[in-house]
Amino acid sequence: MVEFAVELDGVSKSYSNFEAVRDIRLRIRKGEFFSILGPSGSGKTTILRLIAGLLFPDKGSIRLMGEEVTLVPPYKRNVGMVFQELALFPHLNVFENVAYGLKVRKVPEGEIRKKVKECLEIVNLDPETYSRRKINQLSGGQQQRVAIARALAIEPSVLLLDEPLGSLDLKLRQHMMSELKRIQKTVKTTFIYVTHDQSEALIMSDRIAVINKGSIEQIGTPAEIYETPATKFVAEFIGEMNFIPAEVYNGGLMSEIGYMKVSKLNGAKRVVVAIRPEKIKLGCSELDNVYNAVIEEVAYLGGFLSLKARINGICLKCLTPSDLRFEENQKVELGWRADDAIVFEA
Amino acid sequence: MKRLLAFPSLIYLLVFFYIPFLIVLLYSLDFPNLTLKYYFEILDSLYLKVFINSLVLAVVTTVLCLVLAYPVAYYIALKAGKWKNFLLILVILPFWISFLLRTYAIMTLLNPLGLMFTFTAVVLGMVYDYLPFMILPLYASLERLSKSQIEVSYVLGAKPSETFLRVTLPLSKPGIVAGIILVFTPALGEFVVPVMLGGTYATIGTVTWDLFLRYHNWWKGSALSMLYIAIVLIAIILYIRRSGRIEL
Repeated sequence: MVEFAVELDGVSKSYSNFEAVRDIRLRIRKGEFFSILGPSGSGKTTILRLIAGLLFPDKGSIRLMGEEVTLVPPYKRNVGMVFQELALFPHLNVFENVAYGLKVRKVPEGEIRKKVKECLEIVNLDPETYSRRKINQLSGGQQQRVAIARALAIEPSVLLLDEPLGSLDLKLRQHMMSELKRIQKTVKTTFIYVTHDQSEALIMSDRIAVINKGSIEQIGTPAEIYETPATKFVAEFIGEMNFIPAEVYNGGLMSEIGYMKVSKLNGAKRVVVAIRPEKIKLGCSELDNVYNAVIEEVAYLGGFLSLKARINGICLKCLTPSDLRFEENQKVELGWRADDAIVFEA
Repeated sequence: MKRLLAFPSLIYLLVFFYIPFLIVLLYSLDFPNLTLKYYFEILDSLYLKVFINSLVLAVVTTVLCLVLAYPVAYYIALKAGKWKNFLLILVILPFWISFLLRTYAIMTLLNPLGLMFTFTAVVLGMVYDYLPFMILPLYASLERLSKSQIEVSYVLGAKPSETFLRVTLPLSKPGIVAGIILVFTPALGEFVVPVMLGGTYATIGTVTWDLFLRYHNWWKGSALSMLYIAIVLIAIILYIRRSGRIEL
């Protein structure tokens, strides 16, 4: 029994003038919803194309279900892929699109019909109504479902999704996110989901790999990535973050806002301290670090207030429940626990 | 007001195409006698041979153009990247020189090869002249095909050859239909190339020319023209009915 659906070992890929990904190591477990999250141009789509066999690595090896496939062409890999632009076949109807991979595999007609029906049901498209429809007679969301059904019909060892929700509007995108999660729970296939949208990754994934400039910065559960970012890039890319430059001083840190207690240091002399806006408590003086600040900006978000508070030259974003009220130019005490501050090398 | 804008071109077509066309029709019927005798005269084995000559030439030209143009159009549309526009200009470049001059130029190439006044010479000249008319519509239809449609077919398990047959070819069908119509129709009536390169290779075009200008038999020449137009019209209508709409 193999534990991993996909394994990448030291995989690098360069295009003529730049290195797209460098020394990628990934172990993706069977049945996992795994996201690759990074800004555009970070190399996440390259990783997906390497797994699909649409690109071959310059270095390193790739295994699918424990089997070495590094240089195996895509049509011999049995992976499913949903492209950003969906790439449905406009000359075929819904049934023929979903049946495509099975037809190519010379699966008997009766079995194809059964499998297509099953897959359309999984993605919540009524086979009776939609089988004979042309692709251009479907809405964006329906096309999305057909693309997913087509990829699932071949019972792939892994389903690769390349920013499939990018072209949908917000409402539909939120709906499709829960749909994807439901489909994944139904079919129990390994999903690898590429996105630049952190909320998509945080909501859907079992684990996330954050990638930047062709290298993996951190792999972890959404909570691990958010609460204990491994690098400054991850801290900045995921969610909101305040950064305060500081220097080691007397077992703690000295910065423009004053002395700061932290729970652990990383050995560097010049550092950056990162604090999430919701970790900053206002009007509370029983904390490890307390400062006098002036409120510069107040934005009412319903359940929360988003504030900007200035301490000397440093402006901090704070998020606080809206049952406390603050006004601009109000003087306030604010602070945070030493445990809530994360220290990175400057 | 908007309708007025169509008038100049309609008047132009009326004066220089529809009225002459009507005159040709009347000539073919020997107006005002109104007889079909010139039509019966051309329903003769000699003219049948000429029709077959034209048909063979047009079919060979069209098939060769299609086979030669497809890889070129495919490359420009899907593989050329930043060279796309440059290559398209190269395809259109021959149009900058008159059709007649280009055919003369081909003569100077074929003469030393000893190919002049052969069927091969006519086919070479025809393919040379008509190739861009096949490449451009094929390119237009292949360009609309996205790279990911081909890639998704690979990922779904189809080998490159199978992907070509199941995805690329069907999706480029509108271009193939348009290219065939654009090449086959004028090739069937082609007159300049057979006259200049073919010597005695008689086609509908060359015989019509002879009837009008050498023998001054305008009646018979008109009947031949009408018959040719009727054949092409019927062929195209049948073809479009079978292959759906044309896209240029």
